[in-house]
Amino acid sequence: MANPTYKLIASQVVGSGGASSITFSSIPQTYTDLQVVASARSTRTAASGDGLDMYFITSGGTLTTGYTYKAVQTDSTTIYNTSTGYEQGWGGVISTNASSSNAFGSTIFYIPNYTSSNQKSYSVDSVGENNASSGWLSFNAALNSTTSAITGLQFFAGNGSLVQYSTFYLYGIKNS
Amino acid sequence: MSDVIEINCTTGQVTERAFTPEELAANQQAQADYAAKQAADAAAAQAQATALAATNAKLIALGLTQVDINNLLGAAQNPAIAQAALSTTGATGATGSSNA
Repeated sequence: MANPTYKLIASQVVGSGGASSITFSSIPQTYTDLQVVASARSTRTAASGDGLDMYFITSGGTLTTGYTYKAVQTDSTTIYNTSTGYEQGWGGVISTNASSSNAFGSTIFYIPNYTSSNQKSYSVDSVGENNASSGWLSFNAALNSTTSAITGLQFFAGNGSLVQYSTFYLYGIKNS
Repeated sequence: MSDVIEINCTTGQVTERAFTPEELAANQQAQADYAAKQAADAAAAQAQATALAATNAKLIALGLTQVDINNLLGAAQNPAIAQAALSTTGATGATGSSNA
C-alpha cells in the first residue's frame, strides 16, 4: 500500500530475564494517532492483576507526569468506578505470576493527536487473562496537560517487571 | 534483567540500558501510587459491603425475608423487568432510572 493508514511502526518482545520497562523513542511525527497493542504479564505474585502504566515522553526524553483519569474496572466480583490523578498514566490491568500459567493480559492504548499543541488524552481497554473465577478488566480514559508533541512512550508494570514474551506493538494511524 | 528496553522508532535500533535517575524515581512513584490505589479500592469495597450489610439487617428487622430483599436488589439492577412486574400486578410507580 503506497499510503498506509494503519502502519506498524515498531514492536518488541521481552527476552529471557524480563525487563522493567519498554520504551519507544523517536516516534515519527507523521501520523495523527498512535495505538499500542500489548500482551503482557508481570512478575507480581501477591495478586492476579497488575497495572500496566505509561509515561508520555516529550522532546529531550522528558517523562511527562501528572495524569488524571476515569476508569471502570472489575475483578469479576466488585465493580470499581475510580477517578483520580497519578504521576504516571495508568493503563489498566495485565496478568501476573499469580495468574494461570502462561496467561498474558491484553491491553490496547489509543492516543489521538499525539503531535498537537493541545493537552493529550488517551483511552485504554484491557483485560488480565486468568483461567479462574476471578479476572480483571478495565476501561480507562485519561488526560495529561502537556502541550508538547509526544515523541516517545514508556511502559512498565505497576508492581513488578515484565516477564519474557511480553509483547508491545506500536502502530501509527493517519487518514491518508 | 534490563531496566529499559528502548526501541528507536526512527532507526530501529534496540538498546538495553539502566534507568536514568528520572526514570527510576518515576518508576518508584508509580509503584507507590498503584499500591495506594489498590488499598483505596479495597477500603471502598469494604465500606460498601459494611453499609449494605447494615441496610440488609434493617430490612430484616422490618419483617422482610432475605428472598424479598434479593428480589428488590434484582429489580433495582434491572428496572425494565421491575416495571413489567409492577404492570402485571396492576401496581404503578417509578422504578428508578431506566437507562438499560
